[in-house]
Amino acid sequence: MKNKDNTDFIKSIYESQKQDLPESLSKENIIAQLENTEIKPKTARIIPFRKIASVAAVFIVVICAVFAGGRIWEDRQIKSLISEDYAEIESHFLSLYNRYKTDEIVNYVDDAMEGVWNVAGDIIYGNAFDKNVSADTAVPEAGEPESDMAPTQAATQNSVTSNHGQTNVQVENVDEADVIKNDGKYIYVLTGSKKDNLYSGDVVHIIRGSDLEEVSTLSVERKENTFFQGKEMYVDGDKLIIIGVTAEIEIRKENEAETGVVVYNDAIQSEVWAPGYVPGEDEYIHYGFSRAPEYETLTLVYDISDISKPELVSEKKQSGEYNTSRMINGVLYTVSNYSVYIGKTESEKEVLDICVPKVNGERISAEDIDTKIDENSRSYTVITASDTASGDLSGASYAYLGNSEKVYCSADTLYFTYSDYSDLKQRQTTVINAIGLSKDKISKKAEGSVYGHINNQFSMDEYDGYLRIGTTGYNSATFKDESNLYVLDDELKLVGELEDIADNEEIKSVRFAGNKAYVVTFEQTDPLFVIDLSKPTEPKISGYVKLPGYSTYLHPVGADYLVGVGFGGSEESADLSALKVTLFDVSNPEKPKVVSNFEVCEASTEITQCDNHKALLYYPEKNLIGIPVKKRIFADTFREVYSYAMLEIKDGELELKTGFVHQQDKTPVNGLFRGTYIDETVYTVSDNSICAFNLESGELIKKTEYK
Amino acid sequence: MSSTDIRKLVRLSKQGSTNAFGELYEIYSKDMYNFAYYYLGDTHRAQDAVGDAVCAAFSSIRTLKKDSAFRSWLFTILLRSCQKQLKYIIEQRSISDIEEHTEISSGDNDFRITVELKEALLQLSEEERQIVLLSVVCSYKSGEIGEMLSIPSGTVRSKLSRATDKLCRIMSEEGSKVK
Repeated sequence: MKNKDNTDFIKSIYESQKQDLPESLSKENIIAQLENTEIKPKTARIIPFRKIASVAAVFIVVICAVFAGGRIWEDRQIKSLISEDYAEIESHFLSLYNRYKTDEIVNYVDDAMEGVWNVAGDIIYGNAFDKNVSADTAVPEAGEPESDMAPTQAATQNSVTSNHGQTNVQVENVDEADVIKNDGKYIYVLTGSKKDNLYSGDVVHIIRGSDLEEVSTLSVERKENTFFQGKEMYVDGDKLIIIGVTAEIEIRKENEAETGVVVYNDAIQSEVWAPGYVPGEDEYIHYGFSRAPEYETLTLVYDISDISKPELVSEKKQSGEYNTSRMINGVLYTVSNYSVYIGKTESEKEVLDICVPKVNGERISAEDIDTKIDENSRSYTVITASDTASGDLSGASYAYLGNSEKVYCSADTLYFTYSDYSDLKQRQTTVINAIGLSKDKISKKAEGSVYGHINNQFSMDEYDGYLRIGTTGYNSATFKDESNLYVLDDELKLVGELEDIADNEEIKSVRFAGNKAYVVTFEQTDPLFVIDLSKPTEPKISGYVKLPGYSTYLHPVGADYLVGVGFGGSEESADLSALKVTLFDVSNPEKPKVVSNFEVCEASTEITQCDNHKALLYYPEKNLIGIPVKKRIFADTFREVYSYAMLEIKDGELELKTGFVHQQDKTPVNGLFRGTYIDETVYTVSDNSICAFNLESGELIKKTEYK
Repeated sequence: MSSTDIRKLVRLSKQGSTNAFGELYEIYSKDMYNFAYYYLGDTHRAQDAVGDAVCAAFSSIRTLKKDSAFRSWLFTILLRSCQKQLKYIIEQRSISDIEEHTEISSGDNDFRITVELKEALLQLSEEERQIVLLSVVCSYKSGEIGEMLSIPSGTVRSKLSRATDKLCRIMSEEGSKVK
């Protein structure tokens, strides 16, 4: 609180003393200078800006030759360091390194990219990262002992006959990882660990569904001076698989002042150390990361055939931060993004050491790396296969030097995309790479591109040998958004297109179902379009319906219905604080109808906020849709109410079947909030507790706080 | 301006529109200048830093991967640009010269209290100043600051807390001296 008061005080002083913008920095002057600045993919060196009288400053832009850096290393005969197999990659990074060392602008733009990369990463991970490192006073224990508890599992999925909630996946039989899993008998919750521990996110609570007993608590064993943070997990038969990120940290012990506050030390504070308290020890400790921690993605496989004694069977490490994963027929495919932080390196040798992504410490073989190098390339997409069912994780590896953003995966092909602006005269395009997946070989099948950018994995779908993709482009001639749908063949060549679906509207969500596509656009009229894809070469609009607000996620229910989750609103604008669930009747593609709505004001859910489809629960046997609802209440005091709505689709209507309040008296530490079910029992799961409710009556059966 | 509008301006900028970038710049120009001014304690250096940052940002706009991350990207570039300017200052003058210099430049200002805030800020370490300014001028949350500076958000919070504490102490001491 004191901290906040101080900050507010400083803020108020700042507000009263804000400086006016000097004339030299006015918009007009800046634009005048920008006219002399070129946008370029190439390196630019800019002579420092100086104000000359009050007139516009002089700007000189020097374009370096693309391979200037490259020549430097050749001259210096570093060539001998380069290995034949990786020659292209190694010379690229050495050239980047030399540019970095000699050009400050590149230097700080590159640094900025690292920051942005993290921001982008956060979005990919649904903000999981921040939540996990935010434990302020918590501390890592150096060389923490092995977990004294273990997770477990009892019955395998096959032997369970109950109806139970499963992660809401995009493609049938292509499982996606999540922070909660349910095998019909036990519910597995990946949360922050105990309150006084820095590394939250590394504990799995295993709760028996029948009586809500926590039968086992699995803490991931941490190696000394290593940071580990669980991101997501799978439960597959008798295996529990935890995927997370790991990085080396340094730990320093500092003297403790008499007051119990860490001695303020200028030498320390210039580094990235923070004080914390070691549980059980009367000693402060400083922990820290190097400036750009080298993250690796760690996959841990536990045998849970004895639920009381989960046992670590095998583990696998790959370069880069975890992006996403899929599990197909017992084989896990893990995608990570590896950025080579040239700024951190101090010698050519060091550059060579980090410039090729590794799996278990070994470079990925050169023949499994594809490259698309431009002079700024520094990020890899790394994909590995692991046969987690057998516990043998030595599957195929693959890396692509080039960007990747969104990932969609069918039963045998993984598609990743990135936005390309490489040619100014051309329109913004999305480049798609198709990667063939199997346990023993991962390789690139095709590459293609389409106009515009995409929203998320649901923007893509493979069906009958064709990839369909929905994009929004921006037409700089007309200043309008254009929403489009493209059909590509198995070589990612364009075979069909439907451009400018709605006038000046941006695509908010897309869902493909067989030979139909549902598209929600937004700006003026917010329609839902039904698009007929039965002839891949001639996609066409079958019909549409207009409604206020828009859906950010669409979920087909049978062939006739579609549920949209998103924001409510009026004809004029969307109300971003109102959660709205809409049931569409799409049985007649020419005349889709809105049959009913469920709206909660001042409420939100992960699905609307982060595109996190995994927060939605579908109970197919009972036609139920479960949605976590976070509602803010500003009555006497501010409260956040975490409740769960079970909506039923019945006789062509959407209605609230039961509502459950998970907690409302205190603000949870962070956002994890999901629901699941086993037969007639609904479970609501948050970071600190799990509740069981009777599905029919809504009555609370039991609430358990985690151990 | 809505986030959709900002994304559009970013897209236009990527296609080479200086006017679109100018619009974007205008949104953040005051914050950018104030950030640099309080970071460096010198209006000329601050103008250099902002000018450099804007040009660097524009010329490399197409390396921005996520359009919606424009603001933090811009401020990260500004931060690097300010660090560079500070390096120049340190290279060109001894530390005592900096103090002298800031006293001189503070003469531009009629508000004594401004001088106090600026001088108090200059007594913090560079990293503390970064964190305080990112929080106060840019209203970033600790998580965002952590991302920009590559440090955990918990560390940001504890550092921010110590820095604001120190800042308030310095300013109250200064204030009592005047009385």
